[in-house]
Amino acid sequence: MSLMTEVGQKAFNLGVPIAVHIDVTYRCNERCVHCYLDHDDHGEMTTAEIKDVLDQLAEAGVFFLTFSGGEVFMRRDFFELVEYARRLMFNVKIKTNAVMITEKDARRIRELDVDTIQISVYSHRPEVHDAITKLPHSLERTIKAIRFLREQGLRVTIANVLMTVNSSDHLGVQKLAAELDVHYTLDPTITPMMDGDTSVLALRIPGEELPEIFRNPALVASQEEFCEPPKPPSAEDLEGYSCSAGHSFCYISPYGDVFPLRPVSPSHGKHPSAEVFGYLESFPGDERGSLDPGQRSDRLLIVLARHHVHALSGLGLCRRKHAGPIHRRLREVVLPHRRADREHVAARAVETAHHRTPDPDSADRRSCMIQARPLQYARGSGVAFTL
Amino acid sequence: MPENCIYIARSSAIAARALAGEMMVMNSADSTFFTLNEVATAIFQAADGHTPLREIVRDMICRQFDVDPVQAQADAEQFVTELSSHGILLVSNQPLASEAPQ
Ligand code: SF4
Repeated sequence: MSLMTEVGQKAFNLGVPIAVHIDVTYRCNERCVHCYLDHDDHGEMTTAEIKDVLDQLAEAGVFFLTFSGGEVFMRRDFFELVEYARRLMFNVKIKTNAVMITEKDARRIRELDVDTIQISVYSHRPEVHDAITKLPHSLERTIKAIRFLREQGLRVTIANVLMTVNSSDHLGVQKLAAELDVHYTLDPTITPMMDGDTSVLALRIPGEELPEIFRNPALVASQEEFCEPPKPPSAEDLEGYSCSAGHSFCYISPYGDVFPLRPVSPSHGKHPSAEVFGYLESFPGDERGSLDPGQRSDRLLIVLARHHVHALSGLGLCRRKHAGPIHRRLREVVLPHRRADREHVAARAVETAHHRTPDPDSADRRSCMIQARPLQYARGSGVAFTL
Repeated sequence: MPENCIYIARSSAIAARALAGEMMVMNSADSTFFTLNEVATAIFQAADGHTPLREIVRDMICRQFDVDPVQAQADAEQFVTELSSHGILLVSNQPLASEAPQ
């Protein structure tokens, strides 16, 4: 077990929210065809309120902090927030479309020692990328920003959301990432809009086309391992927590609401279960049968976690005996003082490339974890001096 | 560098957070990740740039922990050297302005 995994497990066991994703705005300068957000401002947290949240998160033990949106640079106070977060010694990651990042901004990001900047790129072809973002010259501006960031020596990841309209372009985007010397990550997840509108799901790549993409050795290190069917959960799995949502991870919206995962459709409760199970098409029928939320929500979450989907938490997680108290505790911890504690909506949650939940142990981290040698000596107290 | 002249300060480039008595530390420049045990955490937290390492070891480590002062000083110097090589601690024989908050 790596040191990072060990720490993650420890936080998980203690119920410490080690990683938090905060969307500071849902406003955006792009209008991506697949975007599920409502871009209007319905009362975003103020600068002071977000700082208050950050104070509380630091106190609660949060280490990994992801700023996302919407487009984070739509907030004029964004650098002020990042500066504040860095002063509180968070490990900061930023997700952005990068269109607004200038050379001066890139320098400022480096000065603030931001860990990683994740940037959405849909295609290496401007006509395809710009048609998706609906912002003319957006690819050109995004690439320019990536170069500025790389010139500063910053770690950049290109997140490539794949859908029907760009399904043949992932190899081109990978090549572009290599040219720019940045990491590449791909995600075929398209989710319903926040208001429950499912029309965007028509953009999903048909299930039968996915295996071809995920058999690409450049994307999947070990095909055997990646394509291996999930093992049935053990009794031990079913006893413990099956997902970090609400335990060691949580999501905060621009309005100060806290969720165990990123909410997508507040009207989740009204969705027929058949549609929810659309995510599980690749599972064998007998497994799907056992995933009826009325029977075993635990099992559902385990299987999903194994497939790195981390979705559908709303199916039962928020109501589960473990998640409830911890989730409530998180709410108490992070809600800005002046806001009313609104009723939590058991929302559906997904992770997408643009808004992926922070995963301290993810393969896309170029981290070199050091388990330094212990400098131990015999002492009466038995306290080891371990670096 | 004479041992009584070592001053240490935490770098502002790092991320750090205590978790159950241990300190998680990460340097974003090279993504090195450490966890410090209780003793190492005490030294790290005392690294204010103006308290000499010798004083930290004498007044804090040797008082809080059952350890031979000479051994503790040697271990602390080794610890400080290792962390400074990863840009986590700044080391000088002059007092330093602390970059990071307490
Ligand atoms: S997907 Fe991201 S970049 Fe595109 S419109 Fe939505 S928030 Fe903006």
